[in-house]
Amino acid sequence: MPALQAKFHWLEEAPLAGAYTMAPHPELTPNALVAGEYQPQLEKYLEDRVGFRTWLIRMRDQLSLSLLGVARSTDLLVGRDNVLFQPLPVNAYLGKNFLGEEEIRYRVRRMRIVQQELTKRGIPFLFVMAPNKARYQPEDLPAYLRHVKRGPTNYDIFIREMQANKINLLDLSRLFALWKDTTRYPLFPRGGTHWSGYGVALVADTLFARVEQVGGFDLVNFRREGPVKVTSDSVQGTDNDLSGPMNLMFPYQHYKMAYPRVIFDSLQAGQQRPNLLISGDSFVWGFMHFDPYLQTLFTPESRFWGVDETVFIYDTHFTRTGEDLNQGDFRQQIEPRQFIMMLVTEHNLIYGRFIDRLYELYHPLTEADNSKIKVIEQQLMSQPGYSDSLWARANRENRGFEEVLQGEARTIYDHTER
Amino acid sequence: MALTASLLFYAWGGLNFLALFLASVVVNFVLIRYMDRATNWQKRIYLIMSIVINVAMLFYFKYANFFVENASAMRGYLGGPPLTWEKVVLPIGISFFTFEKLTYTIDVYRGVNKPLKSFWDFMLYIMLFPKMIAGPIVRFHEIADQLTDRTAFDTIDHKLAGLFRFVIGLSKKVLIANVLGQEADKIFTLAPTDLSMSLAWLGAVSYTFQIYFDFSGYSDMAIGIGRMIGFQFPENFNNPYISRSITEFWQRWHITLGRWMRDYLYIPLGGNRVKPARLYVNLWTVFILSGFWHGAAWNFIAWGAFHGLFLVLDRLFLLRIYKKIGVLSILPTFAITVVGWVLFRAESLSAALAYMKQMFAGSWSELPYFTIEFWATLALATVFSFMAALPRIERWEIGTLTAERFALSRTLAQGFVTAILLILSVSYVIGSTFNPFIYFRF
Repeated sequence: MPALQAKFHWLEEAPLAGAYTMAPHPELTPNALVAGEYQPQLEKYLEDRVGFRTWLIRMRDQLSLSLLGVARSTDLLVGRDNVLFQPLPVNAYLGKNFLGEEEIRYRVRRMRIVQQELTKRGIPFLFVMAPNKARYQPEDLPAYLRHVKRGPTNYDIFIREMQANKINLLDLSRLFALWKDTTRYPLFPRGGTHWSGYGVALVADTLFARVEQVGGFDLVNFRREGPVKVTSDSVQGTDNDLSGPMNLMFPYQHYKMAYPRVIFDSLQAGQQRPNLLISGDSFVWGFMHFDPYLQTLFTPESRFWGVDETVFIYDTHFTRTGEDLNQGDFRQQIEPRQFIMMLVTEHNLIYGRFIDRLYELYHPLTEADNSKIKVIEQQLMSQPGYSDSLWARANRENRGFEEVLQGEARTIYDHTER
Repeated sequence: MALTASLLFYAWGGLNFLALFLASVVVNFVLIRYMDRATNWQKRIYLIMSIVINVAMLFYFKYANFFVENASAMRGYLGGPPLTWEKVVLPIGISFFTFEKLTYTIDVYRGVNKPLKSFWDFMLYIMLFPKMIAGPIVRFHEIADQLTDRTAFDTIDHKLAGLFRFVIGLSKKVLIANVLGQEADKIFTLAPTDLSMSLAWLGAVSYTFQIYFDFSGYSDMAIGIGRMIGFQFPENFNNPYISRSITEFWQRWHITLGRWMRDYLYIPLGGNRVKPARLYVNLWTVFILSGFWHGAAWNFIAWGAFHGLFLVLDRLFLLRIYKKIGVLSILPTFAITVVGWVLFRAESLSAALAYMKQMFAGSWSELPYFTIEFWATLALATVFSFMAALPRIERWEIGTLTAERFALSRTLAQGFVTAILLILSVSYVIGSTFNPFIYFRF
C-alpha cells in the first residue's frame, strides 16, 4: 500500500512543516553500486517518498506529545500546558552559556569604543536587547527545568556593563517583564519562540521612538488603528514557528493571539527614511513579517546582517543579497549608514563578531601589534604539550594548525593588550 | 525464489564481496562432496581443508586488523616504528555464515546428515537472508529437510504466526531498543569524570536492555520471516534475564551460538567427560573464543573471559548458593550480566575498566534529566524482561510465540495487536530520520 500510494498519490498528504531536505535521486553507476554508495542513497530517496509517510510522522509526533510530553522535532522543549521552548534560550536563561564576567567586560569595553568611533562619524549606535521567552515565562518551563539552580547569566552582566559603559541600550526584556501582568494579549505565543505579533506592535512604538531620539530623526508616523484581530486558529508570522514543525495530527492549541492593524502614513516634510543597518538575530524578522516597519521606515539600501553574517534586505521573503562581508571594503558597508543597531536576544549574546569587525575597522593591527602576537605564538609553542592540544583542536575544528595558533595568540593579545 | 531474494539481499549490502562469498560457497560445496565420497584419512583431509579455508577467511577478514594493530602496538612498545597497512573491510554476515558452513561440513563428516545434492539448496542454506546477517545460527541438521521440502510449514497459520513474530521483533528493536540505546550511547560517551555511580549504572542497565531487545528483536524478525516463507528456524532467546545463574543465562541467551559452541568446540575438547581442572580450562577457552567471535577487540575477549569465569565459579560453588536463595538468584545473575555488558559496550578495554570503576567507586549523585519516554521505555523493558519469571507467564509467552494453529478469535486479537505495533514501529522508523529544523540558520 505505501508503495502504491507513493506511486499514484491516491490520497492527498499535506506536506510536512519545518526546514528539511529530501534526498535526491542517486545516480546509478557501476562504481557507486560496487562501492555500496548507491544502495543507501536509494534507500534514503525511497524512504523520503514512501506512501503515507507524512501521516505516519504526524501520528508518531502526536503520540509522543500527547502520551509522553515529548516533541520529536529538533530543538524543542515541551513545557507546562504544552508551552514550547527552544533549548538555547532556556540554557541562556539558566546561565549555562555564561561567558564569564571578565569576557563580558572586555566585550562591552570594545562596544563602548565602537560606539564612540561611530558617533565621531555621525552614526548613532543602539543596542536592543530582545526578550527571551524562557526569562519572560519561566513558570511554564518543563518541570525538571523549573527547579534547576540558575547561575549568573550573560544577560545580567551585559546589561550591567552596558549601563556602566553608557552604551545606548534599550532593554526590551525588562520592558516585557513590566508589561507581563497588564498586557491584554500574549506577548509570546504558546507555540513560538519569538515575540508575538502583538508584542512586536507594542514594542515598535518604543523602539522606533528611541531610534528617533538617539538618531535625531523624525521617522514616518505609524499607529495602531481599528479592532484588533484575535484568533487561536489562524495565528500569523512566527507565532507558530515551533508548533508548526511539530507536525501533529491534530491542531496545536494556541493562545488567543492578537494582531493589531498598523497604519503607516506617507513621508511628511521634515521626516526621513534613514539607512539603517541592523546586526541581529531572528527577532528582527518580527518587524518585517507582522507589519512592514523596517520596509516602510527605512531606505531600501538598509540591511539586516544575521549573526552568521548573512546579509538580507528588508522584506518578508528572507531575501539574501549574497554579499560577503569578508570581501570588499568593509568601511563602505558601514559609513554610508545613518544608524546602526544591534538587536539580539540573550542566547545570541555569545556572538561578538559584529563588534569585533567594527573595532578592527577603527583600530587595525599595527606592525608592533603583529610582532607582539608573534611573540605570544612562540611563547605558546614553547609550553610543553601545547602543540599537541592545538593539533587536536585543529583536527577537531577542521582548521589549519597555523590558523588555530594565530587565532589563539591573537585572542590572548586582544584580551591583554588592546 | 528464496534464493533469489537472498542473493539480492546480500548483493544489496555487499556487492563487492559477492564474488568472493560465492566462490567460498562453491569451494565448500565441492570439498564436502568429495569428502562424502572419500573414506578414512582422505575424508579427514577434506574435513580439515574445509575447516581451514573457512576459518582462515574469517580470521583474515575479521581479525587481521586486530592482530596487525596489536603487533604494531607491540613494535612501538619495543621502540620500533608503527606498522602501516590498509585496513581489511569486514564482509557482512561473515561470522554467521562461516559458522554455518562449518556446521554443514562437520554434520556431514559426522554422518548426521547426507550432503545436499543440489548446489542451489546448499547456497540457500548458507545465504538464507532472514538469518544471514545476525542469526540465529542454524545448524545444518536443524534445517536440512526444509531446504528441499517446506510443505509442512507452508500454511496460512504459519505465515500469520510469522508476521506476528516479525512485528514483535520489529517493535522490540524500534520501540524499546532504539529508545534506550539513544540514552545509553550518550552515557557511554561521557568522560569518566562526568559519570556518577548512579549514572554509570543507569547507562549499563539501559544498554543491558537495549542489547537484549535489539538482538532478540532481530532474531524474532528472522524467525518470523522464516516462518512466512516456510522455514522453522531455532529459537535464539528465552527470557535470558530471568536466569538464576550464568550457566542458565547461556541456555537462554543467543541459544544457537551456545549450542554451536557446545557441539563443535566444547564437546570436541572433551566436554564434561574430563577432569574438573581440564573442564574449567575448556569452559574458559570456549568462552574466550566466543567473546573473540563477537568482536575483534580486547574488550570482547575480556567479556568472554568474564562469563567463562562465572561459569567456572558456578560449578565451583555459586550454583549451590543460588539454589539456596531460589528466585532471588535472578538478581545477582542479572547484576553480573550488567557488568559484563559494560565490557561488551565500551569502545576499548581501558574505557570499560574506567567505566566500571565509576560503577563501583564513583560518587553517588542525583541523576540528570531523562524524558518520560526513556523512563517509560525502561520500565516496559524491565517488565517484559522479567515477567517470565512467573512460570505461568513464561508458558503463555512460549505458547503465543510458537503457536502453529489459530482459532478465529485469537487470529483477530493477534491481528489487531500486530497491526497496531506495525503502524507504531513503521511510524517510528520513518519518523526517526525526519528531524526538521525550526530555522536553517538562526
